[in-house]
Amino acid sequence: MEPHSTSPSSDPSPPSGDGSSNRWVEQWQQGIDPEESFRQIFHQYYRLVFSFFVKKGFSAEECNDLAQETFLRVYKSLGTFRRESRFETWLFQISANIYRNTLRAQSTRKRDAPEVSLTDLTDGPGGGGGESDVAQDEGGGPLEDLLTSERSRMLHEALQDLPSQMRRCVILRVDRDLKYREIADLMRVSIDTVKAHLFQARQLLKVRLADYFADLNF
Amino acid sequence: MSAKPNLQPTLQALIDRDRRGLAEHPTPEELVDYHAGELPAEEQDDLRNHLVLCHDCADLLLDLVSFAEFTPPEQTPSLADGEVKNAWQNLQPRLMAREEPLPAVAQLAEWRREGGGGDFVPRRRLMQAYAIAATLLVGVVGLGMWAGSLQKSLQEASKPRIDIPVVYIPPEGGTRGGDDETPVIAGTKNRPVIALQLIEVPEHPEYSATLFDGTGQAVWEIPRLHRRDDETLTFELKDGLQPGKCEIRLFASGGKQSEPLAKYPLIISAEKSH
Repeated sequence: MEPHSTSPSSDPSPPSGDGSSNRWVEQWQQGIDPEESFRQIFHQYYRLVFSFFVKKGFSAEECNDLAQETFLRVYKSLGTFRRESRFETWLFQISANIYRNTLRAQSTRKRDAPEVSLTDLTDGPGGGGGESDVAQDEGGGPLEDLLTSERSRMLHEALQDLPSQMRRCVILRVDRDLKYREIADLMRVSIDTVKAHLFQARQLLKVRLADYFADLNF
Repeated sequence: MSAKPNLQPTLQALIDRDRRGLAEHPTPEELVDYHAGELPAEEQDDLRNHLVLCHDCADLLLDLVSFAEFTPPEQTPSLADGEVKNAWQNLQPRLMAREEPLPAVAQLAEWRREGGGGDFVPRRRLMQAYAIAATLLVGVVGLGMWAGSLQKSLQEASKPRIDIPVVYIPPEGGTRGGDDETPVIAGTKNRPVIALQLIEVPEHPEYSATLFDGTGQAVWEIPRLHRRDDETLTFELKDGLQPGKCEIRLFASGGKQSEPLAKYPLIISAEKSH
């Protein structure tokens, strides 16, 4: 792609798809038409950064402000970016740090109002951990509480007996309903490995938990 | 016996209990290292366990994958070209404002050299006042020649000064994506201006900094530093500091007994490198 012949808004793809650093970044760092180079960088990545903040639950106006702040930081620090890693990864770090700082600032502002998680609220007074924690919401009387507690204990033991990586895959699948691909990305394993772990886990857990749980086809 | 429940609620309750004991969240830099397979095995294992319990960190890692693959998440709204263009137009003036840190810090240095009496007023504001005064004088008195020479001197004065070097220093571990090399300052004879970057440094009304030499001895204190619009703290490095490795530790004013807010390692070299 030629530096000055392409409309930035019509071509949002990075100029180099081989994992090397962005060509516009190189040009900016070399002082070749820096304004145009940075404009190209902005147009290529603004949507990506904006989307990142949208996904974090900020309003459109906040996303715009945070994305602008991100690019201001990029502009300020671009001279120090060494092209040993991908520009996109570096951009992520800046975006993620701004996201975390924003959360921190918001939490500082709310410091006077202590944060109480929904989990804590459901615990009620005196909920101090232990197996009985998971039996709080069933509301079916002492017998049902006992059964719930027993199920919880069985599940806990069955999970603990799984190999650690298999256990993590199960939790990510059941708790968060993640796709195989997402679990693979999080655990840094192949999709086939995730599938194999989940298949084996299903077999093992069915043997031990079929009497306690209805749906073990996660 | 009642009907068998599904696995998910019970598992979730178990996990919620574990979540309460979650350790500190990994930094984005650690997530990047993990994603790149550059964490030691033990740390990698700890981080995996954290990701299983912490939705926010797991989501951040999935975001990192999106960035690395340059695939914006599907569920987010797409922006029209015009909106991106508008965003760029809004950003441009802010870039321009940041593009000229030199004149501002040069003014600061000059003000300090002149004794630093009274409040520091940015030269740009002074320039505006001078310009108004000059215009009035021209209109009322009609001293064309005098006004011309004044304007010329104003133009000269408003030119960016490039004779004072500015060294931007990131906090220790602050921008590993950017640069993790220790900044080197080529001597102190020309009294370079230091700009401490306030990445992840909490906001305080006033800061102070202390320079420690390689032996850990405090050798210079810099009081009354204020956060600038470009998220830096600037001051002029004094002459006569011994070359070698050193560290600037940043404190909230009045809080020197506590842990520093950030550390800024740097090296002062014996001679200017260029």
